[in-house]
Amino acid sequence: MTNTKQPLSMDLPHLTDSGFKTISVIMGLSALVILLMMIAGLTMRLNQAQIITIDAALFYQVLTAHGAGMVGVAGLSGAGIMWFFLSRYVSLSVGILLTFLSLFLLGVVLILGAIFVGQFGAAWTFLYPLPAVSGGAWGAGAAACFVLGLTSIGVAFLLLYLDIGVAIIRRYGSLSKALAWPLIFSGSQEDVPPPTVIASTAVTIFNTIGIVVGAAVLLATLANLYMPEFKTDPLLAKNMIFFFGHVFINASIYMSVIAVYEIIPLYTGRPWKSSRVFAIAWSAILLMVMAVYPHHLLQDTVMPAWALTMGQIISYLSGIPIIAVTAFSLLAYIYRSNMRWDLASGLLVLSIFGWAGGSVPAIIDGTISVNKVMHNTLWVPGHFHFYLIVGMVAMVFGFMAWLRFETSSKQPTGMDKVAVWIYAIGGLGVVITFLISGALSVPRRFAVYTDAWTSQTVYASGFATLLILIVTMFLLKFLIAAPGWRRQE
Amino acid sequence: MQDFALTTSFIVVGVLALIFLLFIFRSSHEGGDAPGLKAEGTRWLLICAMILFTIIATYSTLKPWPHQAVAGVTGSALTVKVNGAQWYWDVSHDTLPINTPILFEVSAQDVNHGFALYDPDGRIVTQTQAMPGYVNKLLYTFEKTGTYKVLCLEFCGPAHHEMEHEFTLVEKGDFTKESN
Repeated sequence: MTNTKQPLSMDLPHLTDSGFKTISVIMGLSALVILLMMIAGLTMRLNQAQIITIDAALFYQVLTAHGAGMVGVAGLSGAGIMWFFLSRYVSLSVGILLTFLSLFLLGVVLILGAIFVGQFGAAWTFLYPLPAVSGGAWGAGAAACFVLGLTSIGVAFLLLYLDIGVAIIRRYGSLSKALAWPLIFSGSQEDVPPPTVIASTAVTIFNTIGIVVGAAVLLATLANLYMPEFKTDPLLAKNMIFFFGHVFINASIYMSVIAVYEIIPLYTGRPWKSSRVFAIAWSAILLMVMAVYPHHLLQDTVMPAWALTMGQIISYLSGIPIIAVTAFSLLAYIYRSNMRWDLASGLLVLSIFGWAGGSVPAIIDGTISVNKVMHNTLWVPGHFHFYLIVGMVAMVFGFMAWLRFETSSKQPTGMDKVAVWIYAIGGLGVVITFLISGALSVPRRFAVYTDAWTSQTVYASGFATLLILIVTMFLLKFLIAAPGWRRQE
Repeated sequence: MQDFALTTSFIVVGVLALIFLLFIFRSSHEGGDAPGLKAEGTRWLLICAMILFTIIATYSTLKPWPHQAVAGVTGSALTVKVNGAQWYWDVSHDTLPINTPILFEVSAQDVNHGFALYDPDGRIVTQTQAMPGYVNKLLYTFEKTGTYKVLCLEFCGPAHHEMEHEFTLVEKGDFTKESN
């Protein structure tokens, strides 16, 4: 069967050369950090497998770096993808993008300093009041450095979202119009925003709210470090941290999925439409992504029953936009489209499977009675690594592969198809070993394992090594194409 | 419960994978038009099915309310006070009877901890969070005698993994309050 389509070019009228280069740097840095954090993850699994031995305090520092690094870089790469495609439709500031990147990097330096110089190891979730009560493991200065690092990254995102929000309002008149509410409520077909604009608007709204809440609890934590008499209610802080954390990491996927909306149509020849169902789904996501966070507190029985019930019900309903809207649309669009398969299209289609598949164990764990025996076991990293490795990170590398094809005359090779399968096997292997371990009640975030818990760790380390090798190849291919990072006008 | 969760996840994800593979295989065929009304009808069926699942699963798993202690179903339960601290558990009873509702009143002295009960086979039977300033209530009836371990499942600092405690579960007849 011969697929004759050469669908790799896209019209990007507003994208300047400096904007393009900045996005390329953001994606290259993201891929490098993803690779380093995967190596950190492998190191932890090898330690749990009792193949290597690292000190417990260092293990928790690596854990903190792995979590903060991966969440941060998920946000960074997601923002890069969103900015790149949104610049097709609205006028965005490259200066703001550069300021965003600078503040982000400042945050990274502060966080790395806090962890590896100050020995901060309270996990990326900095659950109040742990940063201030380390049992002598780290000092207030290290904790403050970490908190300021996260705050710097938060400010970077707020600045970027401000620019994006203003640009969207300038072009579409209001946020409600950019969310396609006229289409939802009156069926108006006039100036319907494309999927990228609808998605970017929703993410801009909910992630701004999430980051503002995160910044508030970060500042409360900072104040507590130097004024112990200034206390925050631990339950309130827990709610705020999980609200922020949940919204932020989900925002990274919702930003990255824009790559699927924009690139897959180039392969299928079928545009991803802003249908009424699509618009309704995104307005539902806007509300659900914020309202679902109590599913992180299902074992806090002091929480109001209505909040936990809401967490469970919305966990179930959150599957609808992912499975019945995004995954369903993708399958309908690729069906009999005579599309070509290469690294970009392969990873992007895989990413939607990863996102949808990862939602299944997540939904199951969102049930209070299941959560009673699964919470904080390896089941939890099992489901979020599912939709992050097989989902979100596949979106990132799919986008980067397309970016490489888009800017060079090189055509995809047969090896690219094999690479997608290797990535899928490595990613799914890591995830399945986590899920099995979770079902066996193996705890997450444990530096030292008993012999009974090590059964999956050797396999997990093997799959992680495979993943690291293939991601190294993705990164090298991207970097080798770097001299060609100049858009053909 | 754990085995049910794992099996269900694998089956649903497996079906999803098969559907994806089928469509990927069909994607190479010459097609023609983009998906039309028939696909939209199928989509709405799927959405309705997922909403129906939500309603049924919510009703069947939340009634009765899973946190029984909060729902007031404490009856003649034996109360055990638990306080977590870096890095030990302070508990009011070490020996407990089986087939008797036990009400754990769980709090923390310094930071957040997780109070998870592991049965003699190493499986979690139930858990709750231990939080400074709050008392989370957990009602559980043990059915097997033996040694149950408590592990901390909320990361609480560099010795988090060492924060253990043990309960000895004995026959109801062998249990006397004096033994504690």
